[in-house]
Amino acid sequence: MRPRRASRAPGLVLGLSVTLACAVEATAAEGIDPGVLVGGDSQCPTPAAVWQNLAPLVPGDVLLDRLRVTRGAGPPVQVFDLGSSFLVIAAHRVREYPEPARACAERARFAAVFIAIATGADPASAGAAVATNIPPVVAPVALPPAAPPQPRLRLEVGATATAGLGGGAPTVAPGVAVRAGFGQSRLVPVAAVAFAGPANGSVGGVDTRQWQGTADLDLRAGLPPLGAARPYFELGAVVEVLIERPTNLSTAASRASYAVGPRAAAGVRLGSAHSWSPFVSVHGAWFPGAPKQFALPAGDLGRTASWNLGATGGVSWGLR
Amino acid sequence: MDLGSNVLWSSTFEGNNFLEWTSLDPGAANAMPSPPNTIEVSSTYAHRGRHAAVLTIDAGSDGGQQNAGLTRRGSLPVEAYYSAWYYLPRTITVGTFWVLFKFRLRTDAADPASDDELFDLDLVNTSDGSLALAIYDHRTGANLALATPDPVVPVSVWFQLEAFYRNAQDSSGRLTVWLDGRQVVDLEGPMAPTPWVEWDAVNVGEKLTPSTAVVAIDDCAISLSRVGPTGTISE
Repeated sequence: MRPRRASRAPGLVLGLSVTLACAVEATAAEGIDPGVLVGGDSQCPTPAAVWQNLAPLVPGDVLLDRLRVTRGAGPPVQVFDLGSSFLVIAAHRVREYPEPARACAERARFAAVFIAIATGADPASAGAAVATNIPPVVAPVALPPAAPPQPRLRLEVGATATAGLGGGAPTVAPGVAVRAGFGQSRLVPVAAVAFAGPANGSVGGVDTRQWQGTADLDLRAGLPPLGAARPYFELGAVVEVLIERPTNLSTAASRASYAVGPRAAAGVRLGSAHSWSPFVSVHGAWFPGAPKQFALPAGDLGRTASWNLGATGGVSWGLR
Repeated sequence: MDLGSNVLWSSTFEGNNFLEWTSLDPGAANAMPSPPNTIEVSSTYAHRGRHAAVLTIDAGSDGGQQNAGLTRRGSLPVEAYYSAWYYLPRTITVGTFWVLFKFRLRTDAADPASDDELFDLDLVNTSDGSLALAIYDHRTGANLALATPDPVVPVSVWFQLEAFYRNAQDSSGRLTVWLDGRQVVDLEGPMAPTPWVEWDAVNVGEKLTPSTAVVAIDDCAISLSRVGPTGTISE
């Protein structure tokens, strides 16, 4: 069944309010420190309020068992106030509930029900009083879907093929690239380094062997998902360091040069149940001030490649 | 970004002397007999920069061969490109011969007494009196057949003679000559009997009219890749 949207939540609020209003004071949770089970910095609802609503639903010892609380670890249930919404994490499940009215009591009741369901606890087993007063909770189908939290850091490692154009004969070189995206929003900064080479080229009769290193800073914009694919687009700037050595000169010198230019890329990451997922991207960079090359007796050999076009394929890891 | 060079040696005469030739052993810059023949560095003519070598001979109809030349010999590579720029202030009527560019050989690389002639790049008069390039092979005693017969050499304009010479003793030997970048001959086959090479940029003539013939020479180079008319031989 396709999960329903958060707009269905008011109906659930009403039903649960009735249910919870009929609940009696729980006794099973007596003797359990609420702070061991429910944590987070939320002010609306507070962890204490959530606990107050949770205790009548599920016996504390059942919660301890289901949540596999270990001594010294943090609370297994976390509640976060996100302003117009709030987020509950329990038993490795996460739900974000839109609730712009900031009705803290209702938020607490919602959170408690979600926790009870998430832990797999049957409210009916929470004691006679609770069992007789709380109907079977069918909230799972009524809970609004919530997107899994975005990773705070996305690390990508891939193999690249880069073509240099516009500076003598075109060159193609293999390489590797490492990219890191920071943040959870749809627009995130990305920093990357790449290395490619060797590329065998020829310009003005001078054969060369090139190694290229690049570092770029970009902004990545996530585009709407296409099925399991997560397309994105990047725009930024790149610095290229080019080490070039002629191979057919009697007096040859390895020379390093650098160039700066704009960079654009488009890619797609495939959705995955794992923390890692495959990705592919195509990218291009333009170096309007590519270095000039000179050799005797050919003289001016023109500039190094002013266009870099390439493709990268690899694995992306989302790190929370 | 200076990637390097294939120019093994060059001479631009910008030092206002012949040290680029004479400081190398063996190398030479001389005129024989002198007088009347002379060789000097002058600022009267220059292809690039301010100076060029000016080689003057007096080769009247009553005299023998007159010589003024610049020579590199001995420690030259088995294969290389030899390039020099020339300027002829006026046209000349050639009586016997007029040579600007030479390759010589040794039958015994260790014996200077075994020096001999190999190829001469000569100037001859065409039917309309213009000067044209000819290539004389001393082994056969005849001129080589050129890709374009009688390639005209300009007067009062700098022109470039360049040759690729692979002095192999087998069929891989090769002589290719360009006039202002235009190929005029491409000869394959055995060259000199030994790897020893001598290259001369010269003004050598006999029975010329008028008898005083001036040749200015500049921007000479020995390179492992072709210089061409647009090449650069020094930074």
